[in-house]
Amino acid sequence: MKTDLEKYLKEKRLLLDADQPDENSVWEGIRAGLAEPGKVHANWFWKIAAVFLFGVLITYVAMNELRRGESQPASLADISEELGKQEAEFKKVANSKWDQVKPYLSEDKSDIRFLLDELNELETIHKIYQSDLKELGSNEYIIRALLDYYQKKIKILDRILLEIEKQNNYEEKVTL
Amino acid sequence: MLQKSEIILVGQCRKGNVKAQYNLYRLYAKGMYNVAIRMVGDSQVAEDILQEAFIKAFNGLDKLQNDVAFGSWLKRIVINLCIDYSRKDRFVFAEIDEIKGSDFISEEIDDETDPAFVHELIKKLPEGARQILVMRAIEGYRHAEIGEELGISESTAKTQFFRARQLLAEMIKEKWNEDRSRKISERKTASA
Repeated sequence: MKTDLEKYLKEKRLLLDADQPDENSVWEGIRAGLAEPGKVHANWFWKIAAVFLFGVLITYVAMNELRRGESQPASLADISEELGKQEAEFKKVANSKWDQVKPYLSEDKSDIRFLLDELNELETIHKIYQSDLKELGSNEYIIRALLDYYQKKIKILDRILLEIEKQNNYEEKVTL
Repeated sequence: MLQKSEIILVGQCRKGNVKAQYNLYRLYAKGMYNVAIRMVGDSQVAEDILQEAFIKAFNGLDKLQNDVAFGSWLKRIVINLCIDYSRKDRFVFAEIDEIKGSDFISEEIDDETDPAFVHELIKKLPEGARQILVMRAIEGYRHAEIGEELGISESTAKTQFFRARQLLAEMIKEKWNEDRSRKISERKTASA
């Protein structure tokens, strides 16, 4: 008896399944494949643990920084009274010399330009040491560097004043 | 009864019960393998797809809303994997036109034709024809669905399905005639 192909395929649907897979080897593959997500979960566990530890570390560092910021010295006076006095004395001398230099800054500064540049550089270094003092606290190397800064600053200001004086003397001679 | 035990198995699989997974696998392995082999035409690829489909199914059971529908859900996974596999070596639907001319072939076949023999011939169809024929005539997909899955228009799916049927009908007839000629010559040899 003849039948339509499409109808035949529908009616014999289950009988068409004539092939047989290698069920055991496929199952082994499935088992192995299903075991992998376990590894993934394990990886996730470690990832979560790592994120947690990282969070704890960040919190600890932040808290530490906060506490340190609260107690760290902002100037030498915060370390000891003696250092504070010394610093104040240096500042007083340096400021007084700077006051003497200031009136001449509006004039032609070509003769003292290199000394002013040196002074600016020293100020930049001083700012770095000050932030180091805030960050690292009392440290012999930083204390020494800060005291050295005032001494160097005073020396440069002295040289500037000397140059100004030389210039003034020269101008006086020329006018005479 | 079978459906009830299946639902129980699916429930146990959700909890990661390996024995239930194995039993469910045994229940569906042959059927799904045959779907895959008809779609891809290669036993090794079909086994790989079978394996991947079960892994995907067991890992994604949370997505299955109705446990009764496990079988049809699994079959969807198998068919989609077959389509994905074919996309890697994108087949050309036009190849069916090149194989045979435009003469209409009667699609009537002998009711007594061995289904296993038809199954073998389906595997030998060109890829595009094979997939459309399997999806439409055996798995009951609508033309619109086939078009969507294979990335072709509904009308192309219809045309290609017609050509696939024609091609299979011709292959069945050719094989039928070959077998008949062989049997006649065998009888002649035996009587001589």
